[in-house]
Amino acid sequence: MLSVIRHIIRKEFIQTFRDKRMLLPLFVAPVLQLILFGFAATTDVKNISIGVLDYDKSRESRALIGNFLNTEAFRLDHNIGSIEQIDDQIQRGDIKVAVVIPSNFEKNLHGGQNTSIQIILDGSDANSATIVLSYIARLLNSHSEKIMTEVLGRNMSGLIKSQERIWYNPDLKSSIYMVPGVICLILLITTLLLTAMAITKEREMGTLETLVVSPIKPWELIIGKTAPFVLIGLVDIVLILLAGKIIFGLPIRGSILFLLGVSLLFIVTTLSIGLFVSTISRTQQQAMTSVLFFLMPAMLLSGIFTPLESMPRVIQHLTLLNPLRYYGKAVRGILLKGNGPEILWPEILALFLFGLVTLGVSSLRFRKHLE
Amino acid sequence: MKSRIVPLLKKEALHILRDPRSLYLALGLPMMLLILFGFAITFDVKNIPVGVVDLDGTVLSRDLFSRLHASQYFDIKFFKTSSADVESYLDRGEVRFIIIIPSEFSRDISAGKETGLQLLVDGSDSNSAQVALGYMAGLVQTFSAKILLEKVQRSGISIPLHLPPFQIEPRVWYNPELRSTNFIVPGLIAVLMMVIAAMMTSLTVSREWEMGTMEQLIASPVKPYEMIIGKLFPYYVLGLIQTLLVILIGQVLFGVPFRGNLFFLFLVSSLFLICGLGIGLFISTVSKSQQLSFMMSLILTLLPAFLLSGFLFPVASMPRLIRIVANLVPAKYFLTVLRGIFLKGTGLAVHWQEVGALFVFAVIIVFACTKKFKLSLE
Repeated sequence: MLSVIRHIIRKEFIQTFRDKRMLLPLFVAPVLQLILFGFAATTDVKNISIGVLDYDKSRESRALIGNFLNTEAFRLDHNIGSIEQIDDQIQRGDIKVAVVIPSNFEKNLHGGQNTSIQIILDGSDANSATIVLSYIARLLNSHSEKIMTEVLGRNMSGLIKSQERIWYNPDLKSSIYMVPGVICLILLITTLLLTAMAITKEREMGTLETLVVSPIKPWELIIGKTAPFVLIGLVDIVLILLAGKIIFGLPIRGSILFLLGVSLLFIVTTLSIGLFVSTISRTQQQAMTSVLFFLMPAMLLSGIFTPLESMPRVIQHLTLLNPLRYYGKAVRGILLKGNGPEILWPEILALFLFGLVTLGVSSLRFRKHLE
Repeated sequence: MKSRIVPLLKKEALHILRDPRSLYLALGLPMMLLILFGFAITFDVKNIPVGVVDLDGTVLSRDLFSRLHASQYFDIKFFKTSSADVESYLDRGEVRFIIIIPSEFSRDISAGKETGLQLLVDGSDSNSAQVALGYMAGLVQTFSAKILLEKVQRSGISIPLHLPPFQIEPRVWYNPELRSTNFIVPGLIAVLMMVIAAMMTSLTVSREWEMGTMEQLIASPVKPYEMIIGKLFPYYVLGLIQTLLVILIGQVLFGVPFRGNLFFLFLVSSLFLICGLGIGLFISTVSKSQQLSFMMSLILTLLPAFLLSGFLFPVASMPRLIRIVANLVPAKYFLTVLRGIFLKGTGLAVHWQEVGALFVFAVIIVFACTKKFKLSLE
């Protein structure tokens, strides 16, 4: 019995790696993805082209502009002479933000009169515009605080400062946050997609019938077909951890063994879904389509890439049905916070239940399908 | 010649129609993604779960607390008067940060001394943490300015300063409410077109290889370019239908403006579709297996279209090397033009560079395909 499984596993391995190019998507791609997500998926404000229109040209206005020069967030690359020029350059996308200082800025400031600074933003990229705006607001607020302390003197100020102590990711590097996300993504793609396509391929080719009439039992077939992808998935995890540590300095605070254990639990669910997809698909194209339909919402509604608490309430409740949500939290907790089972037991329990239910449903369907 | 393309076209169209699931993909996926992005996915940071520890217990500290409570950005999960064991909330991920008001808070403020709030921050989600800290800093600044103003008024000294010294007046163009659907919808067109064009074509052509039917086609008197046109044209049409659908849903459901020229959009979309179809065809002639084709098109087209095009993350903020790589992603140029057409109403006069880049891409990829295709035929 065990030897039957071993033979199927061997066959599957040979089939997968007979095409040496398959190594590329299986082992090179995860690292490539890691690099992309780590470097590209950043909402940090950096190198934003900014235009300044200074009608005042005074000491105070230059001091204000100085705030934008001393940070790597902005690149002041256009000297602007008129409001029409701003219009033109924002339209062409040459600048994303413009700061307009009114002509009597210094006079009003020193005279104790109300004055305001205009910030013009290109809202067509709403995402970064929001972040840029809050960044500028912080910059100008601290400038205004500086002016206040200068005028009022120290003893009058009594300002409240916040001392921030940042845990787990003290430099607030987004790559540290993304690496655990990439682990979830890769594991999902390799295990779910590849199993669904591998089993459907047998059907498309007509070889599944051959296997069915052979004395192999359905569950032996299932284990044999899926085991190679479990192994590939686990190897990928280790690979990503290694690359994440070397390239991004990812801290690994928890136990790797515990991480692999939780991953195995999650893989039971993904393989079962892959198996289920294979029972409703006749061609590999259909399998791919169905997987994409599951993959996209599962990824987007997992809290891996966008915060769950910002979603509408109804959707937040809906995400409770998403196994990726629990796995994502567990991976982050283990890697970044060093969480152990005493904290993550609700996630483990949820993954266990998901595994039980999906495995039950899909293996029942698979058996019925074979008969 | 013409008569030879038509049957091929018919065959491929029949393939698509006979398998309604690919049609669902082509037409259902855009709707699903639009609705997901429109309703569920926001990069806004709201309802940030926080905890408050008030060691001071004075009128002033309670005033600060009520401001936090009233803010729509924060969702206060616990309020304690001692800091014992609060760290475990961060470990369990129940709060994003904890605000500790020190016991001498009110005393220091009345004495005119600088005082510090302590923030314990869970930095693991760096993006949200950064935004949350920004909101917190804004709140503290307003609070501190208010105290200052009261003090100045009480002391009766006239000071040569308006408080606050100056105001910030933001003006947002093209998308005044900064609604994320307005920038998601144009971006989604680019991503979806890549899925349809590159992924689906790479799969259909490699299926022919896998099934061995490609040899039959080669043995038939069909010329390579006829075959390419016959294979790709149905997907081209599908891509265009999809674009129209996205525009329509975007307008009806989310009120996304369309300010530009529809014909110009059609032109640029065609150019981009040729790039996508070409890449798909190229992948399939190289890989010849559906599994490999799918993985390759996922890595070479879908991911770059998502991550390197500026769809969700600004390209300008990426490291130099990644920026250079991003210049090789057609979706980046297409996306710039799309946002221009939708939100700014700009045309060829503004976007000639992007259109030029797409044209060059299209020429190169078509050339590479015919070359490679001929080679694999021999």
